[in-house]
Amino acid sequence: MSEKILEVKDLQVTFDMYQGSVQAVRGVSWYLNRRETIGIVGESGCGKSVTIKTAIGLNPVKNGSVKGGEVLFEGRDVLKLNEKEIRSILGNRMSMIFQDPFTYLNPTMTVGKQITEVYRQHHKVSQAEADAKAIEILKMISMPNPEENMKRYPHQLSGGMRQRIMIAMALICEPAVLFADEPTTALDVTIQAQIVELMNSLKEQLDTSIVLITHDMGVVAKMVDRVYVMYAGKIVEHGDAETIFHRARHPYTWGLLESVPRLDQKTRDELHSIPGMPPDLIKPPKGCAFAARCRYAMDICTREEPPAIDLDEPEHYSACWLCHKECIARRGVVTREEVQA
Amino acid sequence: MSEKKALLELKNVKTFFKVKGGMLKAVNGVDLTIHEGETVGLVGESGCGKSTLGKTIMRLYKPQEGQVLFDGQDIWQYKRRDVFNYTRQVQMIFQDPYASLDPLSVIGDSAAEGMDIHHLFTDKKQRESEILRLLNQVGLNESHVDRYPHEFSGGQRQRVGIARALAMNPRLIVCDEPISALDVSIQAQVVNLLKKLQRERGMAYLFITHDLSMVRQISDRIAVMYLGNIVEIANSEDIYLHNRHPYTRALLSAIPIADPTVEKQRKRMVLGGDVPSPVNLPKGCSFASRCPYATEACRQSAPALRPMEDGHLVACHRAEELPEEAY
Amino acid sequence: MSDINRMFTDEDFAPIGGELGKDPGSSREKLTYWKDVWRNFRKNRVALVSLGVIGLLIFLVLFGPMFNEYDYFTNNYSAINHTPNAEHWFGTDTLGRDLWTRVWEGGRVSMLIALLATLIPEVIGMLVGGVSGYFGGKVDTFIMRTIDVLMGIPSLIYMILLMLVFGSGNIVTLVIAMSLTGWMGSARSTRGMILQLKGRDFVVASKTLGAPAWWIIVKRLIPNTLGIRVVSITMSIPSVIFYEAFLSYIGLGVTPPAPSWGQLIKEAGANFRYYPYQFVIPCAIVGLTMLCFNLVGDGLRDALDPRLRS
Repeated sequence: MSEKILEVKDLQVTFDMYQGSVQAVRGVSWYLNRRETIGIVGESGCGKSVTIKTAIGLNPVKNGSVKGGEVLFEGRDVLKLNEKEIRSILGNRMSMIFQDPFTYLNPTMTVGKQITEVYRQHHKVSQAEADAKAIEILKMISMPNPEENMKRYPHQLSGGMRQRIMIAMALICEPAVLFADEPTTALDVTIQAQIVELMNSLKEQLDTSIVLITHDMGVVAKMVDRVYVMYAGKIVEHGDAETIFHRARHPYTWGLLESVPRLDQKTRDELHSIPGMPPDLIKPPKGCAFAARCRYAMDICTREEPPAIDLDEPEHYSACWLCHKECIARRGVVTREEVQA
Repeated sequence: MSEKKALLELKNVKTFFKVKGGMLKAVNGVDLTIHEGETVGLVGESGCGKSTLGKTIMRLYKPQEGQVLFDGQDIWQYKRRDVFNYTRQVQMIFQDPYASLDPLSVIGDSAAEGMDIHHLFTDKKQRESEILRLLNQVGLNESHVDRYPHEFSGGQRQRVGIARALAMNPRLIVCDEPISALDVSIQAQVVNLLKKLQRERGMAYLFITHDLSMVRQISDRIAVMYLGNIVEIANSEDIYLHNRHPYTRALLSAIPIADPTVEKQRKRMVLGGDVPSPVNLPKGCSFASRCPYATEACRQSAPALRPMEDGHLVACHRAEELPEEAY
Repeated sequence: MSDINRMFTDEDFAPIGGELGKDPGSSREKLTYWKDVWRNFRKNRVALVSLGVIGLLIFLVLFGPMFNEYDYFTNNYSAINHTPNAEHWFGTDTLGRDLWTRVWEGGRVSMLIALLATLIPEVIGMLVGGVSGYFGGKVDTFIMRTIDVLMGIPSLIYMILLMLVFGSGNIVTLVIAMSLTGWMGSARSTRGMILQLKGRDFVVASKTLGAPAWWIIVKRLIPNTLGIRVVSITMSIPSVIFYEAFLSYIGLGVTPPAPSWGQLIKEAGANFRYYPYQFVIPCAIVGLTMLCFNLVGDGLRDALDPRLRS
């Protein structure tokens, strides 16, 4: 049994707006094992970013508040830590890389200085020692001419290079957990491929676990061990990558997988798409949040929220009435092949 | 292909920008023909000049050299009247649905902007019913007409942008990354909508994107662009199955496939090196610095687009020697 | 929460069909841009109170003189330099004129000048700035260099020149003089905003639809700068009020007996030691007006700033 290093339990986050409170995260639980990569997958507004920003102890948005749950990391509940304690963890034991590196880098400081600054915040070392450490980490992420590039400013580097700098900043303290919020979305495909390979190799070298947030099922397939599929502030399906990609049981997961055309498959006349759009979380629907867009919706789906149903495979949960044994007894097992047909 | 009438022809189009230290050669000699009713996909990475090419077609940038012919006539030789007419026949759909609608105009007015500029409807009632018809066509309804853009999701806004283009009954729509800012499930909706509208109305699309997996679903032909040049054009399926340019191959191989089992078995062609600056282009093939097959000859002389079989054009000296493999 | 193992009926698992993905309609309140601004503005108590005070001042300026039977020009030698009392609420001046009437009557002049001398240059500035920013290139260079040159000359010099040409003392001259010098700042800042907006997709979209330049400037660019311009208008009203007072004080303003706030302060200045109320009351009202406009402008700026919105 592998060791859990981070666990989020029944997290609930809302934020207040003029029109009402948005229930962005409505009871989300997940965990992360050592040296593992998990993917939290979902579309914008499903609450995936809010979840991890809360997990690293940042207040996710203005007017946001945590309504319940806990985040256990190294034996402590992150949500109960004070600001100073959070600062000592952030960038050190847990760190994060973002979608758009440019907005997170200081334009008036050389990138070398920015990398070493992080290190010196958490370690009592001289600038020379920190420089040496930075060069070491830049070499590890195969940055060409690390000594030269450290003297440059962010605007003098290309998008891929900037993302590497962000990764260097995030990894210089060798954190136990690395959060990556859409790390490749803003990059070109060829650069994206490089970054993905890089993150995969670093995980092994630095003994780091990764929480990847993305909507790109392709990147998930390349990086992730286990997948959590999120929709409208809840986790609707969870399983290991192989299970989710081949034996998913939730119609939303099918929709996500089907709406991305695959290079190794022929052109279709009409792409599979999920009709409509996600519900407004100021007033979440009574039953299943996906029911209004689901072609399998049943009477019960509009009335009652589906529980997470444990499926036969190890650790495969799906919050869908279709997976309930009473439903299977009546309709049989519904599979993804039906969608494809 | 050849029996179809050419709608738009680009002949050796060069669009440059003055920057510090010289000329940025955003589009550096592009030849491309779009036929009536067809969809041409234009694919490349950021900075390759694909958007500049689209805006050159829209008459937003004047090319330094070369011609843009619409119905055989040079759009830069147009009289005033012809320009106005051109802005009716060629439309554009933008990438960022959050920036492409005026935040102070209601959806109905945004969709009707072209109609109003061209005075297509003087009667208020007619105008209103036309707006409704358009919005219905793109999947919106009358409750949306007098709402402001900030109340809409990205996908809905993109639909308004499409309605605005459709209102003019155009013959060509330049779609500049119309789906890359949208969520995956919504991307499929928008692509389906564009295909449906083309079936109904028969206009041509130039579909500019960096997403090689989506563009296949909508394009008849695909052109791959690198540093201001088209390096390969072929029928859509040929680009995927019989591509002859190493850059096309590298692009395809970089796209992850949403299946961990397949992913683990794929061979990958990872590009090293850096993209040269479009201000100081190298003498030879601009891809040579990153190309695993590059020879001295490639660094010396730039390859021209040359025909292979079946309307397939490639700009590579070693196209015949590349190993036959898909991606 | 439901009990997974309870009894279920066939009906529970009956498919519901019907149209998929129907728009449920937004449950959120419909907000236009200006409604949203107002909502944010309202949250700022100080600004809201200031707006109320401005409303009250405008009311008094319009109707204040009607509250008693005095007019602003008739001298009354039997009631010279009375301190404020039940008869004369603000007292009387050295010629026995009722100060309550004169203060509000003067306010009319000052406020009218303030309004015209901010709006007219604002409109000119917006159009010039719009043209300059939109067309760019040589037009832009020409307009901007001209403004640079004109701005280099102190505005008081124009003012005196214009007064000499048109004759000093009437409101029209004052407004013209202030307009001729006031538009440049607004042209500059409008141009800056237009340059930013010009590249936005919705403006490019209008262009690709064949919109003529006036359409883009008037329908797209200017309305989108208006929010920020409103702030600057509100903020420049107090300085115009002050400027008018200053000009009147040095003798370039409206001519007596027509009062303006500057005129009142000037007249009272001479006797400040003996009849301080004659000086303090108009000063206080000018100060209050300026303060309130500034506070409202501040509140507006916060309400318009998207970064501060929730």
